[in-house]
Amino acid sequence: MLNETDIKSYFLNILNEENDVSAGVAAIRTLMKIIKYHDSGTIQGLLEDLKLGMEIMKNTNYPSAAITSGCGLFRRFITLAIKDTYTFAECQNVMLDRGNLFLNKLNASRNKIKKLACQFIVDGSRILTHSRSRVVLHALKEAAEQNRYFEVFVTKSAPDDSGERMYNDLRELKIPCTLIMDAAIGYIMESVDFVMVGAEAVVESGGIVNKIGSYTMALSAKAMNKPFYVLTESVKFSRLFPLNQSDLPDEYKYLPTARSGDLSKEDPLVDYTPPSYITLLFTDLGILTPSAVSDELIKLYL
Amino acid sequence: MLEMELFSDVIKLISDIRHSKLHNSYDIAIHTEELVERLISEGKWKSAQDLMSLIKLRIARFISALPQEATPVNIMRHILKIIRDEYDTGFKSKGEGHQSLHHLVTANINDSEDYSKLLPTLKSSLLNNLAEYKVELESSMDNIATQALEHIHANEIILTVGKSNTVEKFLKYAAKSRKFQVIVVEAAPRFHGHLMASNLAKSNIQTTIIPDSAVFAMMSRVNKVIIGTHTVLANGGLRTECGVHMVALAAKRYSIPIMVLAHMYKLSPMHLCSSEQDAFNICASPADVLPYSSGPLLNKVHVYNPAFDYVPPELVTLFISHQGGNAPSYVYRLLSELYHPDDQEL
Amino acid sequence: MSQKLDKNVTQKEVVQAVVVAEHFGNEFVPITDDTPLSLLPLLNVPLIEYTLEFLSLGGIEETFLFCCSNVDVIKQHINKSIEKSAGWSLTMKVHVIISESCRSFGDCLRDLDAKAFIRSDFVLLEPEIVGNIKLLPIIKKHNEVCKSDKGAAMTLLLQETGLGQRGRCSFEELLMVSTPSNRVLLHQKLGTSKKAKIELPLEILMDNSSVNIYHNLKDTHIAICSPSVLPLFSDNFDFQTKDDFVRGLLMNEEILGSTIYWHLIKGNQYGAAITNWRMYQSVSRDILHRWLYPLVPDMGISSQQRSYIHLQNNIYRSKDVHLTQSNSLVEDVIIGASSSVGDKTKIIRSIIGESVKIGENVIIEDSFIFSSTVVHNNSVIKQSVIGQKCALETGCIVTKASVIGKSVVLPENSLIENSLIQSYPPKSGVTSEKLAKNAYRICHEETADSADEEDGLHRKLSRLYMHEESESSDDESIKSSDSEDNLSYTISPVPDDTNLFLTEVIDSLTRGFEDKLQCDNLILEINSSRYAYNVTVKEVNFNVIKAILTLPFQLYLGQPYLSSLRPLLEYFSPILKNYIRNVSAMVDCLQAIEVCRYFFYFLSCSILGDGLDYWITMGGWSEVHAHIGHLFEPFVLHP
Repeated sequence: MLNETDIKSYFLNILNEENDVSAGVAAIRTLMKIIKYHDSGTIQGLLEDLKLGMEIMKNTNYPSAAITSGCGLFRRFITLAIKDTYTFAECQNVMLDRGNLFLNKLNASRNKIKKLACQFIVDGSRILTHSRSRVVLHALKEAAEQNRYFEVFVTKSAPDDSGERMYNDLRELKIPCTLIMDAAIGYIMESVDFVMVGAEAVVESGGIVNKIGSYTMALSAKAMNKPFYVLTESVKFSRLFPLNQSDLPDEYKYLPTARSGDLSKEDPLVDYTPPSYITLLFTDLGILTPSAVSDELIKLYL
Repeated sequence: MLEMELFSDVIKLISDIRHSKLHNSYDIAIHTEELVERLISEGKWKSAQDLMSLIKLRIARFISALPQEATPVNIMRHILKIIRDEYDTGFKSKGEGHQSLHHLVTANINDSEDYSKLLPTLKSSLLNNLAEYKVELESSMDNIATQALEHIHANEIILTVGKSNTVEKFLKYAAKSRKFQVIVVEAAPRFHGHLMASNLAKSNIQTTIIPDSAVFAMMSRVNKVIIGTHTVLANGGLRTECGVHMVALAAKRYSIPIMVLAHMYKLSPMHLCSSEQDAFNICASPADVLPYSSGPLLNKVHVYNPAFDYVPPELVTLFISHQGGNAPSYVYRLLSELYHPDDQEL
Repeated sequence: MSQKLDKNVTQKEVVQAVVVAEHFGNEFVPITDDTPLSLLPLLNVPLIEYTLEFLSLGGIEETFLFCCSNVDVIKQHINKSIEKSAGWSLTMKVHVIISESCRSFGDCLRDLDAKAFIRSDFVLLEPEIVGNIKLLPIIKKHNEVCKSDKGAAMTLLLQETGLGQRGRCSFEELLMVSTPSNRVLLHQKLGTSKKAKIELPLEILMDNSSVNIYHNLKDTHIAICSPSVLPLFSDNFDFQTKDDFVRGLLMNEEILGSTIYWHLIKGNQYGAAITNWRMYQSVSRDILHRWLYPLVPDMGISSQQRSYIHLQNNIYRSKDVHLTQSNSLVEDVIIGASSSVGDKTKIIRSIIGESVKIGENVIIEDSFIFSSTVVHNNSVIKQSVIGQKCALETGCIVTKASVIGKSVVLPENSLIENSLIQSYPPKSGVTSEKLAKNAYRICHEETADSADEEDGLHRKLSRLYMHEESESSDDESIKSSDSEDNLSYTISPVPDDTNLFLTEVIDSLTRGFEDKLQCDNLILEINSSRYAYNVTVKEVNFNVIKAILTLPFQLYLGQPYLSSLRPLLEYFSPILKNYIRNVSAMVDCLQAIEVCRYFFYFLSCSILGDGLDYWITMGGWSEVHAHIGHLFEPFVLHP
């Protein structure tokens, strides 16, 4: 049976050591670990443990949106698994087996996405992206390996300057790229061909929650008639349905340290981009239009 | 020699299309369906997997030769789905079903399906299914035409572009009981609109022909735009005759609904990746635009004569198929019903 | 009854075509030393594929391919194509006929006559034809013509081209005279003769009520022939080429009793023969511009596989081409599979074959580079042909219609201009110059005899384009005689504006004087004419005065000039006052008078005095006025 510190250190360990793993997948692996070491013998106890684990992970400084959606999906998975089995031990084994299968499929999802996205990156494309997204980086790497020549513009993306890390990664891959100010999005939009971003969560309406500045980029892209593509794994689909920016839960927008203070003076970390500004979503379930996303979510939770 | 024996049927189909022996999509569809029927009844295959791989090879061969012709490939894809469904009902198993979150979460290790078990009743059930499918194909145009009365009302002015057999039948059916006017855009440089207008006029429909440049001027008087299409893309956009995007923009400007009559075999799972996408558009001979006798002018200019146009999904109001009307945002659902996700990336 | 039987019999016959795949000349040396002309790559596909695919799309079911040399290579190629199920092999049977002893086109046809394969109307192709013509309707028309005119031997297929167009080889310039029913009366190729005049026999005009004369036609070298053509070739041993045949038939119409017809190919149909390098270049360009649709590179000619991507500016790129920059390919370029292009290289209007490696900083313009060649850095290739498997070391410059054969290795920094290079020492009897181990330049003497002059001209005209500028200067000289050619595309010469203005002013003034209109109205009329024709102030003044001075000739006849001029000047004095207001206007006025050159006295020199002074000081006297200058003396107000 794992205690709080173990859970937290396991979770943080995964994220620190393996650079390529997203917070959502790390959360699921942590929850799997919890199941493996659980010894109370009851499903109720297991569910309590999992709930505790989720709270601990949400209180770390990692993006809460991804953790929440990953955990939500895993919880659904547990609920469905429970129905088919009789004893606890059997249930535990089934969950572990299916969990591993689930994890394997998730690991393969990035490959599927990058193949889909690659066909859109034709020779001579000029791509604009926001902040650092591992999926977008993979897709651009694949296109570069296929000997296509294209140019990338990355926003610096305050306050953590993660765009600069993306810029360095692209430079290492020898892809021609330019680092631009966040404020220069409107300026650069007319000269790019399309916008490609990742997402921290995909909400039920088909919109996305992503690093602050994505909404501005989407508005600008719509005004200049440029396609806005989102690359995301299906593990990020969440059951939220925000109607506007203030509808987003605080735990998404602010770090746990800041949540204790006066929120009206705090800068949010993420914003919500409505589905009408998104052209296509590239997921491991295929290329979806925003209206198809809600269909997928309904099929899952029905 | 080997290749010719293996693919002689699809090679003959490709050659017929290139030699213009098969013109419209309906003929191509029927021929493709007959090709697959022959393959099923006479071909050498044992399990569903064998049959599917035979069909997949033919699809690949066809795409490498004529990528713009989506109809035969779509029909072959749909037949692959029929095979999968028949196999699943034959073994009464769940099957892979859609790629969905639900499936991700509930998948079992034992669930891998490779369709290789032998099913003795497969051939006969497939042939039955295909016979039904053929009837569906043949009656598709009539089914679409019978919906005409729901959409065309008395004293309306309808605009259409160029020539489409489906639209012609649609309008003629409505003309039997309603009185309305049709404006036909002539669609340079091939001017198919002229033939369409003369056909409509023979059915006593009041028809007007206008040049492409007059579309915006006439649009304010039009009540509806009804067009056919060559292909429907996965995002709900269209690949149609050159010049239709212009008409769609004019209609959007005046908030006039655009209805697209599309058979199910025109729905294609392809996306438009970029404006210069390989094999999306094809430029025909410049002689239609500028004759060869133009003299030194030809040395100085490039002449393009594109055959197709892309119309984005925001401009389309309704797709009418033999099952009824659908919004462009619903196309993804129709695609998932027509084709299996594994076949969509061929 | 027998006629009906005949019709039934002919309907069961397959449609046949004869392709003489042998080129009896040496225009394409040294490339044709290694490969037969039929397998010369046109946009990276052997020429014979274009011909066979054209015949198959046109509706032919059986083709006889006549070969005299390199037969094995051609046969092997045809068999390989049939194995790969090339498009034409599905609907057409190809028979290769070998005849090693034929030395000319005529010999081949005589051989064919002896073998008696041909049973009915057939399509006759000279070597290396590309086209996309639908042949069946034309064959049917030929059949009907044959029924009405029993002696109809051949229908020539001709295409309309404009003068000054690339696709029109000046070597093949054709003048044709025919009746309205398309029967050919005169068929003359003008290219080789240097005479500027053409002689039309009078009988042509006398015997026919109306004839059409055409100068805008291009010979596609395709003809529909009746079965009687082959015996005609056998009977007349001096028919060596098809042109001989046509000429002979026309000259001896009564004796031979055969006639020739022609047919214009319309719409988006195209046909051309590659007879020399210039036609090769222009046909390549035409195919890149998609005139030959559906035989275009990106749809695969006979292979039914898409090998190229068609991009803007008519760039055809193979899928696995490695480019380092996006703007290496500028316009009208086709680049084959597995090729690579280095940095800072520019390729303009050129054909690059497969597996070609091009280095950095290379400029390739208007050229053809065949497969497996390597071009190293800093080279310049313009208007030339580089054969297969060549290697051009760094810094090579190859320009001005040079042709480099197979496997040539050019050393560094070589300059090749207007030369033919091959990789092995040429046969004895041909002088050559050794450039390197694998490069020998073939020298052809430029002699001054008239016999060779024609050859030399032939060679010059058949070469690749030298400069586009020199071609356009040709355009200029031809343009004047060309106005009746481009019927719907000529603009009538714009009439001189000032002349029109002058005539209008004269008209206004005439009317004004006759109808006694007010001078203000006339001034208004003149001003509006002035704006209509965009005439400058100087010219207005000049022309008004000129008009007034020429008016007496319009209005009065018989009266002496001065007496008729006087009332005019009195009547129009307000106009004069309006226009002649300052010194420069006075100068204009005097210039007008000088132009009119009439002797008269100025009555009211108060208007003109200052101007005259000015004029004299300016020294603007002509000789004539030197005479009358003294007459003006009394009027000049001396200061």
